[in-house]
Amino acid sequence: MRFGSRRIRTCVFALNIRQVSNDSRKPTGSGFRTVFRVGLIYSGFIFESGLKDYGSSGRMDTNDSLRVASLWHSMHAISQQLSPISGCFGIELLQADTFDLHCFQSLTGTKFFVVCEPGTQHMEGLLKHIYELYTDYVLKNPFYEMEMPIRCELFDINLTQAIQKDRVALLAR
Amino acid sequence: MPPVGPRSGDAIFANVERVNAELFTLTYGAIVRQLLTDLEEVEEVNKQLDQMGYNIGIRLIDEFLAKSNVSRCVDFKETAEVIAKIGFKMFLGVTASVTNWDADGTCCSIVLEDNPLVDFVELPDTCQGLYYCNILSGVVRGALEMVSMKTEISWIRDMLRGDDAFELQVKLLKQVPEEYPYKDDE
Repeated sequence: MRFGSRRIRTCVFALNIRQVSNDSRKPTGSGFRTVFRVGLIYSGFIFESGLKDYGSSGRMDTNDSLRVASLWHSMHAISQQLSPISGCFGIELLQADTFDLHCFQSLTGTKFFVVCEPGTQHMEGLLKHIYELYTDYVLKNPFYEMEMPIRCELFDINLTQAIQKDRVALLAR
Repeated sequence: MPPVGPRSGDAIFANVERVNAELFTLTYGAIVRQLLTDLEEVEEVNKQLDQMGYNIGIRLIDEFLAKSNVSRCVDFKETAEVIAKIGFKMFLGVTASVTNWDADGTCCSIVLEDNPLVDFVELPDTCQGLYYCNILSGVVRGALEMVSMKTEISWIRDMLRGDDAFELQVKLLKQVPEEYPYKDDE
C-alpha cells in the first residue's frame, strides 16, 4: 500500500497521560474504564496522547502509535473509495466491539481521532475542542515547525485538562 | 450531530482576544522599517513581506476554520465572500467587499475601505515601489493554499499611492483536490 503523494514519515512523538487514581466519584464494579487516545495525523506525522487505566495492555509506545496512525491514515483514505457517490470525506465513526473511534478531519486535511469505550458520547465536541487547542497552542507557537511532531508543553497541559474535564463530565452523568 | 452554522464575523470578533490597534499598527510599521534597513531593496521587502504573510496564512487558516465554524465552500465565489466578510473581520476588525468578478468566476477583487495597518503611514519618495500591506496578500495566499486552492494575488489599488481604497486582486490558478492517487505504479 502506497500513500501517493503523501509519504509516511517516521517521526513519532508519544506521550502518555496517566489519570490520577484518587477520583472519588469513580464508580466501582464495571464502572467506566474510559480509554482516550487522541491522535493527530498530518502528512504521516503522529501525535499521540493517551489517558487510560487499561494498564500495560493499553499502553502504546512510539512504534505502536506510528502503526495506529498509519493504519488509520490509510483506512480513512480507502473508506472514501467505498462511497457509492462521490464527495465522501472518509470515516467519521468506527464502531467495534471493544472500542469506538471518532475522527474529525479539518478542511485543511489534518485528522484528529479519539479511541474510546464503546458508546462514549460527545466525542465530536471533544475533537473540535482539541482542534481549537491545536490552533492556539501549536500553530501559534512561533517555534513549532509545520508538519513536525508536536512538542508543546502548553498544548499537552491544555489537552490533559480538556480530557479530564470531559471525563469528569462523563462520570457525573 | 447537526452542523453548526457559520458565525458572523462580528460575533467571532467580539469573542476572540484582541490587542490594542495602535500597538499592532506600530509593531507592523517597525517590522517593515527594519526590513527596509536590512534588505535595502524595496522589491526584496515586498517579497519578504509576502513570504511572512504566507507563513502566517498557512497556520492562521486552521484557527479561522476552528473558530468560525464555516463549512466547506461550494465554489470560489463563496470562498471570496467568506474571506472578505468573516476572515478580515475576525483578524483585522474590518469588513471588506468582493467585486469585479470575471466571467468564469475565478478572479475577483477584495476591496478594503478601511485598513488599520496604514493608520499613520505616509510613503516617502524613496519607497514608492513598496507594497506596504503586502503581508495581507501573503496571508490570503497561504491560507487558501492550505485548503487546496492555488492563487495569485496582486494589489490593484493602494491608498498609500493615492487611490481611494485598497484593492486586492485574487486569481484562482487551480484547485488541487485532496485525493490520494491510487495508481500502483506511481
